[in-house]
Amino acid sequence: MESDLPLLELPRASQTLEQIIDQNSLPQSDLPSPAPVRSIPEVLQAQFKTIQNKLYLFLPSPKEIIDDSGELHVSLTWAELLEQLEQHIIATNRSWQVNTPFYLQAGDRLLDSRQLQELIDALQHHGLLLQGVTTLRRQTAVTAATMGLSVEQGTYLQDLPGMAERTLAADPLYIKMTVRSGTEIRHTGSIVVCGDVNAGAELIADGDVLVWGKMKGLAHAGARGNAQSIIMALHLEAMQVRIADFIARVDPPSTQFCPEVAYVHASGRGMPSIQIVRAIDHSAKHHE
Amino acid sequence: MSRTIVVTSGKGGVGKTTSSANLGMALAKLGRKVVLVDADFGLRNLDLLLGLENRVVYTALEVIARECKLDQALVKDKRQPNLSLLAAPQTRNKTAITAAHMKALVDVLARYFDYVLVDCPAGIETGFQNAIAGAKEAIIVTTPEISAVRDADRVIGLLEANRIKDIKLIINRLRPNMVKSNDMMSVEDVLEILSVKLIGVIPEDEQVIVSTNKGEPLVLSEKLPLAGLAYENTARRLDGKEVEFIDLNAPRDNLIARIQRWFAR
Repeated sequence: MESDLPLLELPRASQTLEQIIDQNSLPQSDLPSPAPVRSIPEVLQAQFKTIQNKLYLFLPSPKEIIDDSGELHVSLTWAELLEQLEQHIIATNRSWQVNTPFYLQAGDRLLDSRQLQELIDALQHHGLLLQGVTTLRRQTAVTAATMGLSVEQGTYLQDLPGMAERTLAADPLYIKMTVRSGTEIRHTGSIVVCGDVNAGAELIADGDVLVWGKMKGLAHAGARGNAQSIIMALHLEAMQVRIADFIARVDPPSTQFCPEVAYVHASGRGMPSIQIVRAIDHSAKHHE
Repeated sequence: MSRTIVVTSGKGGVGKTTSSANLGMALAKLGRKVVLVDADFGLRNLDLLLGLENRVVYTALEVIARECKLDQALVKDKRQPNLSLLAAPQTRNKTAITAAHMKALVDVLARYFDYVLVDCPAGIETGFQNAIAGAKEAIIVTTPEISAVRDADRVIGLLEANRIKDIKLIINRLRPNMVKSNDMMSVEDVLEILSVKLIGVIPEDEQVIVSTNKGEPLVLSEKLPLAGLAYENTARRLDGKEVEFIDLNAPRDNLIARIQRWFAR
């Protein structure tokens, strides 16, 4: 795990408890509501989205880290991005008719002609045909234009027609495959996996994590602090589960084959902590 | 139709090179034209296992640098003329070539051989990326250990991301007695995690060490040891034939078994 993730800090128990109480019991009108912050939903991994019948591919921005010696590291290199994209297409089981047009949302990622060509080639295998590029970078716009693609420069998500603020985040990511060791899946919504998640794989969702199979990897639900998120699996064999700022060891991993749910339990006098219960008990409790 | 197959594992020391040598030799014995490509630049071993070390003149590097012709670099095995070897250079390292070079090389070889078997280096860095560049299929070698299986799982994920979908599995160094006493993962345990098609289970066999040191693949032995037989069966399965798996728990007819039975009477 990268060391800069907030979840490695000590659990901020009291604060999270307050948040839970906030959301559960207090009528919202009594609270001074902060001014709504209009933020662009961050693209964590390459993903497709259809907006007004147009298929868009969103590329994540490169994250640049300058270490102590002043050396620059790029966290998601081009090769890694292509690999991730390929994995994403396999995982989500998407297929398109030959020559389905799509538009690239490159954001502030700088692309040269070789990279654009590689992307075009890689997606042609899946029947996709690049029509246009939207970018914040002048250089990328020039490159794309030289390659004969239609270009829109200087705009991003918020300017897209019909692009509401949260649409990108709200969709769950549906994955139909075995998620193998070393595969990291990050998503701004919930993640649903139809298949096993092997040890060494990581699912990091801002929403819930649902695994219709064996869950042996690492799951982090509510990664941006939503302690209401849950982790559900047909068989929860993970060594560790994380919800918001909470971490729980599952020691020893449950041996019984029964669907289980992990959630943050906040009632009573004790500190809130992650509880793991049988799915039937969890749903019974929540329907009372 | 020629087949280009990379033999890989992620973890080192699980038997990639041994499996490559034995599968190559077994396929050649079945009458297929086979070339073994050592992609482990800088740490070459395949020529040793095949006993061809003293006959290597040119390596893949000279072919790529156009310092020699391809057929000059191919070492033909005298015991089994269907088998050729393209050795790796020992003096350079993994960065000496690029994935594009490797792909071009393998594509040319595929025109002349039925099977191009690429022996991949351990790890998932440059050497691995180069080795898988031209491959259409992959054979994963793993031992029934949690670390080897975890690495194999990672490698399968990487292969899938590189559009290699046809992936088969060899479980190497299995000890049936330890499996029986629950001290080792069983074939089923490994398959449950990796969920790819199994084409071979190779039992642990001391003869493997002997054959490595002699430079003579197991499958060339006159009286096949159990591991050799398992490799031959694996090669047949790879070649598209239905072969039943050997029952490794069945009593073997060897001296110790005979003595045990004699005492048991």
